[in-house]
Amino acid sequence: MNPALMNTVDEAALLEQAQQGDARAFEGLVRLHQGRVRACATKMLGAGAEADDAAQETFIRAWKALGRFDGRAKLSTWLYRICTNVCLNRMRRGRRVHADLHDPALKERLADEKNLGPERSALASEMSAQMEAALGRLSPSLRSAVVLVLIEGQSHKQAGDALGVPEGTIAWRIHEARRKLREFLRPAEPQLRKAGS
Amino acid sequence: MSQDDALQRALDRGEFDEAERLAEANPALSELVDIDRGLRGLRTEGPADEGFVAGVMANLDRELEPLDEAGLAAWLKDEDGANVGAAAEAQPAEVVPLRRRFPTTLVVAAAAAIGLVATGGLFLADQAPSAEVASYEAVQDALPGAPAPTSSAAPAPPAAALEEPAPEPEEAQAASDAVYGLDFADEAEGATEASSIAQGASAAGAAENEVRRPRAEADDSLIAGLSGTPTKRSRRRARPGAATARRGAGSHGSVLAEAPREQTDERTAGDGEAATGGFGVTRGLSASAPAAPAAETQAPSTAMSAPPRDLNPQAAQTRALACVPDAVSAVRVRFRIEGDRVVRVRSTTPELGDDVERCILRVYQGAAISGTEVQLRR
Repeated sequence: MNPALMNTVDEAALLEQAQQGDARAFEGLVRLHQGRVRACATKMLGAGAEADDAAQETFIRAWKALGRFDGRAKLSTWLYRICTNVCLNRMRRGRRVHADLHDPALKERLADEKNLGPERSALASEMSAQMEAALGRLSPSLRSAVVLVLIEGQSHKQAGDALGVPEGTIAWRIHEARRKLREFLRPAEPQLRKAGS
Repeated sequence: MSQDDALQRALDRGEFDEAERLAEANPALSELVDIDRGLRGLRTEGPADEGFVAGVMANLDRELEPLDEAGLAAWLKDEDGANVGAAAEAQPAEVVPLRRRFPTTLVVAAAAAIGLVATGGLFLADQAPSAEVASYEAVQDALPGAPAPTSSAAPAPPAAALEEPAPEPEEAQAASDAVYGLDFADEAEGATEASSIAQGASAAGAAENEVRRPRAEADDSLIAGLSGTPTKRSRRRARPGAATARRGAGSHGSVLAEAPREQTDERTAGDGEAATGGFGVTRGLSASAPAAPAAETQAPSTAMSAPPRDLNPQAAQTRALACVPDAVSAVRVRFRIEGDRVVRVRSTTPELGDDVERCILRVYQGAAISGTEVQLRR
C-alpha cells in the first residue's frame, strides 16, 4: 500500500480510537505529526526549549480538545492551527527566545547534502541563517502565514483554515511578507541566487 | 500579460511549480522566486523523536492556562493594522488612480470577475500591480456595463496621501483605507459620487470623522475546531479628523454593497449614511455627518415605488457576507418584507451591530426574495 495512504488509514483509525479516550492511539497520532508540529513551532519561535514546549503544549491542547474535532478539516490543519495559536500566544507574552533562530535540524540536513561542495554548503548554510533571521523580523501574522504556506507548503486555503482567516487574507499576507523579506534580504540577494542555483 | 506579471501572479496564487517554470524559461525573472525557493529550503521534518513523544504522553494531564483568545485576536488585529499601514506607505501609487476614476464597487466587482480575491480591503494594494485590474480598461472589460472613467485626466494622487510620514499603528489602518479609498462614507454633502471622483474631492475641510472598524474578538473555535462562531464585536474608534486630511482625492463615497449598475442611480448622496466596506470589516467614515439614525436599516419609503429588483441569491450572499467580519463564519439574517420586497434586515447575532445590518440591507433592499430569512455562511 502507498505509504501516504497507509498513514491516512492509520490516522483515521487512531483518531477514532483517540477520540474515545485511547491514549495509546493518541500517542500514535503524536508520532505521526510531531515532525510537522515541531517544525512549525521552531519556525515560529526559533529553535530551542521554547519551541519544543510549544509543540508539546500543542499536542496536550489537542488531546484535551480532541472530542470537539469534527473532522471537517484535516487533522494536520487543526494541529497547525493550535500550534500557531500557541506560538502566537507565547510571542504575545514576550516569551519568545530571539537569540536562537537557527534550526539544528536544518543544519544537519544541510550538512548531509552530499552533492553540495564545501563552499556551496557553507553558502547555503549562511543563506538559511539569513533567511531565518529575516523570517524572525516579520510580524507574527505575516510570519505564521509564511511558515504555513511558503515553508510547510500548505495551500492558501489550508493556511486560511489553520489561521482562521480567509484565503484572500493569506494571499495578502504572503505577498506582503515577500515584499518585506525581499527588503530585508536585499543585500544578500546575489548570494541567495548563487546558493540556490 | 507579461512574463513578469504571470510569474508574480503565480506566486500570489501559491502556484510555485508554475512560478519555477516561468523563472526557468526566463532567468532574468529568477530573482522573483529566490525568496520562495530559499524559504522552501527551510522546510524540515526531523525523524520521530521518541523522547519528545514520551514527553507529550507524560504530560497529557498537564494543566494549561486557558488561551486568552480574545486578547490574542485583538493583538493580532493590531499587528495587522500596523502591517496594513506600513504597506500603504510602501505601495506604488498606480493603484490609486483606478480608485479615483471608478467607484470602489466597480473595482471590487471587476477584480472578482477576473479572478482576483477581494478581501481585507487590500486586493488592490497587493495584487493590482501585477494583475490586469491595474488597467482602467480591465474594469470595463470585466464589467461591460461599467461606466467610462469619469475623467481621463484624473489628478495625480495628492502627495500628502502617499508621502506622509509613517502613521502610528492606531492610525495606520485608517491611513491605508484612505489611500486606497476603502473607507468612504457619504462625505460629499450633496455631491454625486461621480463628480466627487472627477473633482478629486478633497475632504480636508471636513470636521470630525468617526472611524468604525469592528474588531473581531474571541473565537472559541481557535482551539475547539475550525468552524468560526459569531463573535462579539463592533468596537468604535473616534479619531477626530485624523483620516480626513489623508483621504484627498481618493474619497468617493461609494456604497460597496450596491450592485455596480445600480449604484449611481440609487445612491442618494448626502443622506448621512456611513458607507460600509464590503471587505469583511465595516469601514465607515462619516464626515461631520450625524450618527446614523437607529431606523436606518429601514428602507426609504420611496423604494417601494420602484419595481422590485431581481437578485441572484448566490451573488447576494457573497456580497452580504462581505459585510460581515471575517471572523464570523455564519450568520442568520431575517428580512422584514413589505409588499413583495425586503425593507429591513435583522441579524440573529445582534452583536454584529447596526453597521453590518445596514450593509446587508443594501444588498437585499428592494429585492423580491422568497423566504423570510437567509443563512449566510462562508
